[in-house]
Amino acid sequence: MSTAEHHVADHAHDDHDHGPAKGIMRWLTTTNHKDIGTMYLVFALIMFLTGGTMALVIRAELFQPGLQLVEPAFFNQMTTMHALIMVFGAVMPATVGLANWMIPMMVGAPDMALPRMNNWSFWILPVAFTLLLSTLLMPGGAPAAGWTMYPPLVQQTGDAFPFMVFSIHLMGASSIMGAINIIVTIMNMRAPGMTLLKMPLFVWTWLITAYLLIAVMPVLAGGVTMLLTDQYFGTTFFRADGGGDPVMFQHIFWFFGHPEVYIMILPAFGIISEIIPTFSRKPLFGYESMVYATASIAFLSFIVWAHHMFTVGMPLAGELFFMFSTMLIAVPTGVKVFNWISTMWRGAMTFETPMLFSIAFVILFTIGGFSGLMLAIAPADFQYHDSYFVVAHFHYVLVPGAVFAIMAGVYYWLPKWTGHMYSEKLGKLHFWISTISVNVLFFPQHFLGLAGMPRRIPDYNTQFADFNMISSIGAFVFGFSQLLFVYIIWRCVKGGEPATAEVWESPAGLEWTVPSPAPYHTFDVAPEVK
Amino acid sequence: MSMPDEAQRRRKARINAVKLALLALAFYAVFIVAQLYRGQ
Repeated sequence: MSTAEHHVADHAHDDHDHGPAKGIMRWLTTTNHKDIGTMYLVFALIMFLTGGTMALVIRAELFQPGLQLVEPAFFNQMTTMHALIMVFGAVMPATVGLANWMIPMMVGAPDMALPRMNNWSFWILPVAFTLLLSTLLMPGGAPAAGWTMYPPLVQQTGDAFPFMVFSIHLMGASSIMGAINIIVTIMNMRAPGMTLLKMPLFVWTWLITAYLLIAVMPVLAGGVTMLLTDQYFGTTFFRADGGGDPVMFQHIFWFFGHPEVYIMILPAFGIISEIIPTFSRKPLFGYESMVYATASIAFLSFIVWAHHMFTVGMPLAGELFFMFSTMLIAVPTGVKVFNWISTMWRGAMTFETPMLFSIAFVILFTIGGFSGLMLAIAPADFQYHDSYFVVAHFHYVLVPGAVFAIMAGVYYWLPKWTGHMYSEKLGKLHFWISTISVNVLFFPQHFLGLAGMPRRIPDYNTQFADFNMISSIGAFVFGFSQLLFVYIIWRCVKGGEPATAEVWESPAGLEWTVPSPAPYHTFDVAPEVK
Repeated sequence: MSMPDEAQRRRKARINAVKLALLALAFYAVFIVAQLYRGQ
C-alpha cells in the first residue's frame, strides 16, 4: 500500500504546494477523500478476511454431521459475528470506500464537502469493531443470538450485550455521517454543467443509498437502545411480562433490515452500471430508467419489511400486503437486469476481469433474486422460513452479488488509484476460481433448505451430510482463493505496467480525465461538463 | 472553481448537512416516542 501512496504523494509534490503529512499522522489526521477511501477499503478487506475466517469455522464444523471442532455456543457466536462483521465491517465500508474515492472525481469536486467529518466517520469504525471483537475474549463469549438480535434470546447474551449495542451505535453514527457527507457532496459540490441526470450511475445509486442510510440507521439505533434499556433500566418495550411485545422488535429491526439489504446492493448496481458500458463499448442502455428503477427499489424497500417475519402470526391482510409489495420489487430490478443485458447486446465486448465479475454478478445476482421471489410467496415461505434455503438466497445476493460487484469495482478502478495495471492473468484466475467455488459453496444450500435443514445449527441429520460436505469444500476453495485477490492488489500497488489516464478503451466519466495514479488533489479548478 | 465559489458551496453543504442530521434524529425520535407511547 505504501508505494502507491508514495506515488500519489510524489505527484502532489509536482504540482501542489502541500502534500500529505508523513507517517502515521497522515492517516490519523487526513481529510483527503482518496486517503480516507483507501483506509475504508483496507479496513473492509481486513474485516472481509476476519468474517471469512469465521465462515470457515462454521463450514468446517458443518463438514460432517455431529459435533467435531467447536462447542455449540461458540458456533452460535461465529454465525452472529460473521454476519455483523460482513454486513457492517466488510460490505458497507467497502462501498463507502469506493464512494469516497470515486464520487468527488466523478462529479468534478475537489474533495468531499465535509472532509473533517469524513475523517471522523472512518476512525469511529476501528473503535466500533474493536469493541465488538473484544467480546470474543469475554468469559461469556461474543453475542450469539444471530445478527438480528431478537429478544428474548438476545437478552441472555451476558457481558457482551452492551458492547454489541454500543458498537452498533458507533457503526450507525459512522454510517449516518458518511451518508450526510455523500449527499451534500453530490448536491452541493458538482462541477458546473453536471446536472443530476448527467451524473454517473454510481453517483446516483450512492445518493439514493445515502438517503436510505439516514432513514434507517437511526431506527436500528433506537431498536438496540430499547433492548439496552429493557436489559438494564427496567423498561419492558419487548418484554411480555411487563406488557411489551417481543415481535415489535422484529418489526423495528426489519424496518431497518430490509432497506439495509438495498444499502448493500444499490452501490453494487451502480458499479456494474459503470463497468458494463465500458467493456461493451456502448453507452448504458436506458440511463433514466436505471435512475427511476433505483429510486423505486429504494421506495419499495420501506414497505416490505414484514416479509422477513411471515411466520409470526400476522393478520391475513398483512401477509398479503407484504407478499405483493415484495413481489413488486422484481419490476424495477428486472428493468435493471434487462438494461444491463441490452447494454451488452451487439456491443464490441471484451472480457477483462472487471467485466467478467460484472457478468457473473448479473447472472448470479438474478438467481438470488429468483429465490427471493420464491421466499416472497407467503404460504410457501412457511416451508422455507429459517431454513438453509434462506441462507442460500441471501448469500447469492450478497456474495456473487454485492461482493463480486465490489471486486469488479476494485479491478476497474485499481489502475486509476495505483497508476499500475494489475495482472490480468491472475485476475482472471481469481475470477474463475471464485465463481466456480462460490456456486459449489452456495448452490447445494438451496437443496439443504428445501429438504428441511434449519439455519444456525452446528449439527444436523445425516440425510444432509452430502450436500454439506460439498458446500464446505466450496467454502474452503472460495475462502483461500481470496488470498489471491489480496496478492493481486498488493502486487499492483507495488508496481506493474504503467496505466494510462483512460486505463480502458474510452470509458465515460470525469475520473478518466485525470492522470493515473490520480493526483492527491484533483479538480482544484472545476471541469466544465457539457 | 474559484475559491469564494467553493467556500460558498461548502457553506451550503454544511447547512444541508445539519438539516439531514436533524432528519436522522427525527427518525430516531419517532420510533422511540412511538414505543414509549405504545408500551409504557
